[in-house]
Amino acid sequence: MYKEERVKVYAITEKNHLALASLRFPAKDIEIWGLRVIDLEDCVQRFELVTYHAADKKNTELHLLIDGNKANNFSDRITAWIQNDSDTVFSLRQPVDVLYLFGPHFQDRFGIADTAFNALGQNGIDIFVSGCAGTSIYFVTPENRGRDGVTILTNTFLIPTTK
Amino acid sequence: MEYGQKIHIGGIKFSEELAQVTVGCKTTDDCTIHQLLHLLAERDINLTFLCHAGLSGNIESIFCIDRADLGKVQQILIRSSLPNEQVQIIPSIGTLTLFPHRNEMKLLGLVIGLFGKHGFPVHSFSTSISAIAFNTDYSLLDEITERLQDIFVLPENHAPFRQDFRVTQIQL
Repeated sequence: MYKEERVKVYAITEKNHLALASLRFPAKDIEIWGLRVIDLEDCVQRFELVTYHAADKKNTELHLLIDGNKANNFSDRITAWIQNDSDTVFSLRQPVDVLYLFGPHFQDRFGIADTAFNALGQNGIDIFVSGCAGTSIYFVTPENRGRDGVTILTNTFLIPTTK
Repeated sequence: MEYGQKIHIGGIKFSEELAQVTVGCKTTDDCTIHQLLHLLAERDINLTFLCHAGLSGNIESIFCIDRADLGKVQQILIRSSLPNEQVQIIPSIGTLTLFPHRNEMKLLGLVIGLFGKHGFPVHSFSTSISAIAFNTDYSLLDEITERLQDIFVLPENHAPFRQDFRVTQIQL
């Protein structure tokens, strides 16, 4: 573990015109939702980001970021599954942007999340959902804020370049 | 993929023993993830995992730390004056990271379903372009990996699941 004066990352990029699906369901239903996620994966071919965590003692939250062009079919499938399920809450937020940071060995260096969250927060960029796995960090932002976020983070982190 | 056919994946990695901390707030005035992250960074506490949901009405920040840092983190949480009911700690967590083969990500649902079928807890997870990181009970990592090999095929020369050593910067 080590600290850097200015944190290095490999790249910072963004994607636009995405949709964020958020589900809140009883934790006991996770196996059913695993089967449904298989079906949803077939629907969208690829998730941009998925995060999952406990919401309270009984319920969990699942957030799925997808191509906005596939949101209608995606949403229709979920709505059909839960139409008689009063324990599950589903919402779709569209369009949204996403920022990605890719970097070497994020888990071996201090202060990366602090640097990123505070840079975005101090510049008024709301973060709907964020996830970090491996060497990537993702921030889902309101529409049209992705480009601002890239500029802010590019000025905050050091991206080594070769000439 | 044909029914019953195993999926080839690039690899599996275990973390060391961690702790998971969840901080929940109703509004951004109650607490702020920014302040908490800054306090953790000031104390040289590394986050091995992070996910955050700041949608209206319910703000949740979930992070994992080295089990050895839990005491320091609890001190920070006490000093931040967060009410106890807004903080949940799971003191023994392991992160199981899956590396899909050739970026094939169509395995997330299978893994979620397997965890659910066998009653393995999923405390949190997050995906990226190249990995899926699941946080579960540290004591179950080996058992879960045995079950995962019912549906996945690992490379023949796969490295040990656990890291052999760790390098830490010290001040002289």
